[in-house]
Amino acid sequence: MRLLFRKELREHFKIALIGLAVFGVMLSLAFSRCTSLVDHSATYGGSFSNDESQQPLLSTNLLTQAAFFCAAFGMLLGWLQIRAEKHPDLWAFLVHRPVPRDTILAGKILSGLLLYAAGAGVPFLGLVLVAATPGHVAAPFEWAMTLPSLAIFLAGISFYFAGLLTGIRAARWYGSRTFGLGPAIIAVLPAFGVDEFWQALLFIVIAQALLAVAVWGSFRTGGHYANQPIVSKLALLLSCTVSVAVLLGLLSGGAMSLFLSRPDYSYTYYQLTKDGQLLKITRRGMDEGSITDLNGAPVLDEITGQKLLLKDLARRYGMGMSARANVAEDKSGQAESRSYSNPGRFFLPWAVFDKMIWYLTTDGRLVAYHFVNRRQVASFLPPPDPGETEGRFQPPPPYTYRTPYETLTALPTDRTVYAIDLEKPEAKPLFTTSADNGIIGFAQMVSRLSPPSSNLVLVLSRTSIHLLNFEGRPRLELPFQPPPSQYSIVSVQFFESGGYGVRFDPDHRVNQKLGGVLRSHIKWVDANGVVSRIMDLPNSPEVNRDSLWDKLTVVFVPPAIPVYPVWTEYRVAYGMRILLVLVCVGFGWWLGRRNNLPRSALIGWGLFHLLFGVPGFLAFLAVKEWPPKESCSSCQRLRVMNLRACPHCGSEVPPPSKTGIEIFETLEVK
Amino acid sequence: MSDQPVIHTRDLTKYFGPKCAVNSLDLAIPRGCVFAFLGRNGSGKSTTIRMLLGLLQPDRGEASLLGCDSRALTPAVRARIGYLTEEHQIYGWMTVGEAGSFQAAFYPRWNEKIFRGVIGHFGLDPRAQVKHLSRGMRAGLCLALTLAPDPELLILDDPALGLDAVARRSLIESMIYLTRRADRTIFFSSHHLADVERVADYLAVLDYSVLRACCPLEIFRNSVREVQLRFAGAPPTLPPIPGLLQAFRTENELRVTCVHYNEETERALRALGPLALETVPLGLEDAFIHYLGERGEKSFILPGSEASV
Repeated sequence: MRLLFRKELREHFKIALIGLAVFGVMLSLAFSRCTSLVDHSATYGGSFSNDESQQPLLSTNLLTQAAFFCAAFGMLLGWLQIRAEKHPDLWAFLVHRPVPRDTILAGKILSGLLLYAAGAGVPFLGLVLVAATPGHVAAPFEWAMTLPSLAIFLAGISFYFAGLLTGIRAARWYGSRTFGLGPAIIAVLPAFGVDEFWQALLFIVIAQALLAVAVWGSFRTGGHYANQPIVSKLALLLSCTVSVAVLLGLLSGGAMSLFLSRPDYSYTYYQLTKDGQLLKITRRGMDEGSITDLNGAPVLDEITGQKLLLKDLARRYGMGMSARANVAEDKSGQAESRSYSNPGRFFLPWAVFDKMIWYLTTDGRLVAYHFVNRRQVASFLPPPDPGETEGRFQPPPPYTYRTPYETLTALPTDRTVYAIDLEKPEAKPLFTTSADNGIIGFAQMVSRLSPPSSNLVLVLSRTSIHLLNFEGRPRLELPFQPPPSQYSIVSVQFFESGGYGVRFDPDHRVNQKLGGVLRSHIKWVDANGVVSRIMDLPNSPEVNRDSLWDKLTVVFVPPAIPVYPVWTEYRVAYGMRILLVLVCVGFGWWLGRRNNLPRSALIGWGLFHLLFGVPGFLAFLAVKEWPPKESCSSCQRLRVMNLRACPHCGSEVPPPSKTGIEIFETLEVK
Repeated sequence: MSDQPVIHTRDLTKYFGPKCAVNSLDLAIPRGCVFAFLGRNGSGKSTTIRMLLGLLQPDRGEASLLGCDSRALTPAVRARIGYLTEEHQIYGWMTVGEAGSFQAAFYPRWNEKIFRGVIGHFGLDPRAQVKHLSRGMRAGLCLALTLAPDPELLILDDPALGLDAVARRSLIESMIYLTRRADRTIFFSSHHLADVERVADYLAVLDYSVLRACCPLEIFRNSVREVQLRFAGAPPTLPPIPGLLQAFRTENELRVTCVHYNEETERALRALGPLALETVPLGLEDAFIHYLGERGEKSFILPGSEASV
């Protein structure tokens, strides 16, 4: 195998070198884009978004580019490794030698992986080393930040196997050779979406195992489905089913975007206006929709006297703040709720001034990096809470947005809210809870340009809600009722009259567990802090389930994958799904009978079609090789020619007809 | 030495789509012979060879090499089989020497002397890159790589395809002098009948995917006869002749080619009343061309001529 390994290396090292160069340049450009954005933001102001993280290892842009490169490079490398020997004579030269084909394949794969590591892994490694070395990136670094890159690198290996499979498979349909791509695509998507690295890894490992087994079996038979070991047949079939499902999804989506100009979904929500009126707003897409009161009567525009339009809605809104309650004992869990590839899992850019960027890290510390020398230059911790040995700020809640040039800020610890001036830097306590009542949520509306009395902080404790200004004076105090264990989002709307609308929205997960019985709750509070009105909002569906996309999904998704409960709106879609599955089973059975499959195979395929529906049936058509057929010379019916006896009449295949010129003689050893 | 055939096929059949490429092939090739596998382009020779080596799965029937099922040739059996492909494909980036070293590592019975001998015979520089070799040189290198493992069974798929006369002769000479060994079997396909005549003991002929002949070379040659019949005027209509391959009609002559020429055939021909009847011996090439050529009667008489048929 060593020789085969070396041969493969020698044969394809150029592609690895090209990959190394291209990916190196790509990563260098993406890296410099990240760092220049930090410089630009730090110099000219502007907002930070998580798409362009200050830490290149977590930059969505960089990671997306890397994912595309690794997929394309892996795919190309795998495909070329097979393609180079696709000529039947060269293939024969390779496989007709006294070594098992498995050894030949192992040599190919090991060298391929090494070449992949050289082309895609080395640039990644370089990026990690640069990011980990102080002085290169003006942002905090933790080794866990390298996991998204690792996931993308590993997902590229799935594409490598997909490339091998694409190269080796003997396919009858144009394009169906690429059916190995489905599992690889499915494997790379979680690299960005899932919460934990191990979850992404699980997807990758499953896809790779599936593809590797399919490659193994296909290599053994020179790309044919027939004669493969049963396990590789299954792997190939599942790979193709996944690919067809992905393809059908893309085609459905594409067809809908082509033919449906009208958005096919709508959603309804309730909104308080600055004069305390509650509006019911139903939106259809971006621009269409209706605005009514709770009785369904259209709301009129006070200027035109006509129906209020969506574009004029903003005039009706007042200022507001919203905070999310986290009732978990361990506040660091807030950071855990973000994806492992989300920069917010590690830090949040908090402020930029004087050539420094301040980050609030998930260990509750404010740290500053100088964006010229890109090194950590300052660190700031709050005083410890009573009974604690070390102070730490609560990590920022998910989806926190910061205006980075604001140096005045408020931050909570577990029991105290501090007003912080980062320019000095100094922290002044604004509010403290009792020992048995911790701070579970927090929001602020702060500007250095505003007087301290106008800077507001919304604090959620376990039992109460507090709205304070930056002098520590309370503006509003209410009991946290309904309780935070069920209602996790609290929004305060400021009315022109000086009153407030306080809205409690149920925690999505809790409400799901309770069967959706919790309804949003609104309290109208006057300027004196007295609750004047209480109301539970009607429990309207947030999204109307008339999406054609959803229905097509129901129709085409394999029955083995439980996607949705049986909603009444989906009755037709489910009916179509059952009908299509039955058609697939029937057609598969007919095809099997026509090609004289044994009864056990017919039953097996029937079950497969029952479980995997349309995608499974199309995959079945893509992989199955049918025997040749001719008319039987005895019964004249179409018969398979891979059996000696006619399945209809039992007569044997006749020998080739004699023409009278045959010359046969027994051959003897000379 | 085993009496078991070295190559054995039974009802070996392969379809490509609706086309039958090899139809119910039954072969049993004894050890130690040189066997020529003949047929026109597309008659199924290469397909058969690829099925024999397990590179292609048959649709029906079975084949075995050296007693081992072709679909599951073990590495040990493969080590005993040399295979030379028709297009002489080797990795272009390798040098001649590297190709030898690469191949040598896999074969326990690699004979470096044979390798050196063959590449020397073809004038190959071990440092030359394969991609820079001419077609004939590449064929020589492939032959060296095939012979040096000292195989018991040598399968050569049209080894002289595309070679000029000198290279072809060189290749055949190497084949004759370096491979001939009592227990070695050589199975080769070729379109060059002169080469076949020089080296083969037996031949098999595939005609449109069907095996029509399998016999010693001499028997084939003797089975195909051409008979010239001269007439005073236009030759009469030919009666049904068993084993008729071709009949060429000229103004006063009829040339009949048939197989299994015997007394009965001669009687049928004499019944036509020819002035003279002469049997012409055929070389292998002519016999083969007649055997696989277009069947039936043909006329060389120009249209409008009196004797036109």
